[in-house]
Amino acid sequence: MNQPKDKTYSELAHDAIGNEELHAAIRMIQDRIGKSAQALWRDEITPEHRRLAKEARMRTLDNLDEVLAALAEKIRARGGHVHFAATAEDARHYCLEVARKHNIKRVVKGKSMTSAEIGVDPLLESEGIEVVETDLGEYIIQLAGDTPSHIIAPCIHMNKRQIGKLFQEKLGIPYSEDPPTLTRAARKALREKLLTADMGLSGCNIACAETGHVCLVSNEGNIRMATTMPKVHIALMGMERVTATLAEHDMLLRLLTRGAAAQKVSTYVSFLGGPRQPGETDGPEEFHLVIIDNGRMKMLADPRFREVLSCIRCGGCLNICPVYGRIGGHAYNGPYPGPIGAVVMPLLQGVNEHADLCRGESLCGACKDICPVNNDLPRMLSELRHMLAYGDENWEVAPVDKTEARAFKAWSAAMSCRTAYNLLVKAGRLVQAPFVKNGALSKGVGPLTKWTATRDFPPIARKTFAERWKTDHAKRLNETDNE
Amino acid sequence: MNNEQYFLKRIRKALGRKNAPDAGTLFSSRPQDQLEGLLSRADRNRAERLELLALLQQAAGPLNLTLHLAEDITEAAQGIADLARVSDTEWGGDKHVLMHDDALLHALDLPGLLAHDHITVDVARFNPGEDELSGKQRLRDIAEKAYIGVTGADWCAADCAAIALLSGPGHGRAVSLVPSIHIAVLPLDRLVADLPEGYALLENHKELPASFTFISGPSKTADIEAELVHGAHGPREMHLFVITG
Repeated sequence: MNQPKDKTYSELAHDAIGNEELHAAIRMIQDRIGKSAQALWRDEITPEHRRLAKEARMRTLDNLDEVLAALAEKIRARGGHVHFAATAEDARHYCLEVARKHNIKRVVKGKSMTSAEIGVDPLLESEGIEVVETDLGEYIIQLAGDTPSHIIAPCIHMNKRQIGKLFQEKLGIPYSEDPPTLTRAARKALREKLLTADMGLSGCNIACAETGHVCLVSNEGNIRMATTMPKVHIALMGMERVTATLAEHDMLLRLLTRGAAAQKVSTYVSFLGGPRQPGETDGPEEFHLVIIDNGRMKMLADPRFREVLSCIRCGGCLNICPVYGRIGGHAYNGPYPGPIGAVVMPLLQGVNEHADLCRGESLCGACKDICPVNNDLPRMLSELRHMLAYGDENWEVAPVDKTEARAFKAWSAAMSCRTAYNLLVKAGRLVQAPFVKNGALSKGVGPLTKWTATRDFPPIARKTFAERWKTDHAKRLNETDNE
Repeated sequence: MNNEQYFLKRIRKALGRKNAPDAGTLFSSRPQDQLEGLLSRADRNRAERLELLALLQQAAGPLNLTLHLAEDITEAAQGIADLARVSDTEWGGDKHVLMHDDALLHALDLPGLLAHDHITVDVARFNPGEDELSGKQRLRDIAEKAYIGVTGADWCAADCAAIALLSGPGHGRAVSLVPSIHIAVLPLDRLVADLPEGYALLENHKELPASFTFISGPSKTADIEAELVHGAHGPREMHLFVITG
């Protein structure tokens, strides 16, 4: 994993909460794309379309063995290679082997989060191979030695002054903060890389099994370049990113481009299903598809989380999430940020390791509403919280805080016994008295400090509702009787 | 057991069944009459296609896709030749045009029209008896210095202005990708309403090629402060000539 591990979710989130420039940048994307996507779901795409798309996704997952076998067979029939990788290590070493076999010196990448997930770049680089990101945002991130913070706008957290300085330093061009000038400079620098690389490495948006193609969308054209010009192309695909039929592909592509960027279709949609065929004048001489498990099998096996594999990674949930809007992508500590990341990262890399992610989300439900395939992310976030509270053997989750579990158990006992509850309320009032200022508990002690560090705790009322009911209601009844 | 069989076996285990499913309906999830409906919808008369053209014009504008209407092939050829004359090369050097090997494009007679303008027109196909790998390198060198690439279009979806290009011998991918300007020529009868109709045409295609692409406008990016800029890595200009006659 090439993510910084030295800061925790809370620390990174805390940093971002004070960063108004970041908030403004994300707000721009959320206002523009998030709100447009919402409007498209209302005006252009029927609820029926989304329901059928989800159905198709779940049907594919229920028959994933058959669908992947069909995809592999079609691609092999055209002379392509298909490798099934159980782990990240397996997948990245396969890429390295292919690179070694062809004595590859330079790899150009089309934007791929899976490549970050399996950590292939550092491995290739350790063998002296130059790895160049070619998506403009990813390229900027790579030059800056940073990590992406948004699925489709990787350098959303950087402004044009920072990018201008970066290009001045790394590309040797005069300082400019004019996006067209900066883009032209990158176009020139990257064209040279794209046309001289001997291997292209891409992800896969949605493959189609029936026809035997991986499918990649882009607006820049870098993915077409990286998959057409070098002599070898490797496509990395999470095992769930496939449809059975072309008709389903149509349905999902229209959701993907709208969810991602409120576009009817992206500028380029490439279907690639093998190496250059006899008589064709261009295209790679070798084509490899790497189908990756790396933890997805466990999600498939668990009825609580199978649904999340129907995600088409449009990033729509990032463009609506109020939490992402405040803490940005880096806080999520991994290649998949936002609400989808908060579900997927713990499942891929360990629920305890990423325990904060599901607890940081607000469960407001916006991600569920905007999800083109109606994924119930809030439900799955709650499932993760449940695992953390009670532990889960299958996922090797240890209960995080036994004190909390005990406290709730005691609370539950107290709640179900009137006398105990009344006593507790009375005792609580006495204990809290010295701490209550201006009607709120702002500075707690003991385990309560964690809560009151960021918000007030409501004190026990001077008179509870039940007590008021007893006295006030009786009084009112008396008055009515007297009338 | 090879690595694929082992992988698929683990999927079956995850799904809680021992054998491959009965996948009878898996690859025919679309009802047959739906496909036929889309295909017959896509089969329009001239008046209906002219209506689609108006839709295409609306869609092309915001995408910065320049639309040219030409009565016939001669008018289209004149338009393309004029464009070639006034456009500058992006990377310096002489003016080279590279085009697909396609009957429709040969009918434009671009080499004849541009013969006196010092503009070379090459066709992206192998010479008779040429070794494929050296021919590939030769055509790649031409594509890299070409400032204009000319292609046809298998179909165009009016509502999103996306053309489909099916690759194959003489229909290389680099022509619509490496030159700075991409010009596509579309006879009106290949205009369909939307992507579902286009997909239906693909579905109806006997054997789809190893690669095909949808293109809707010039290359673009909004990665720097969400400001839209054209010409990221692909062509910075795209022109679509629709032959309406």
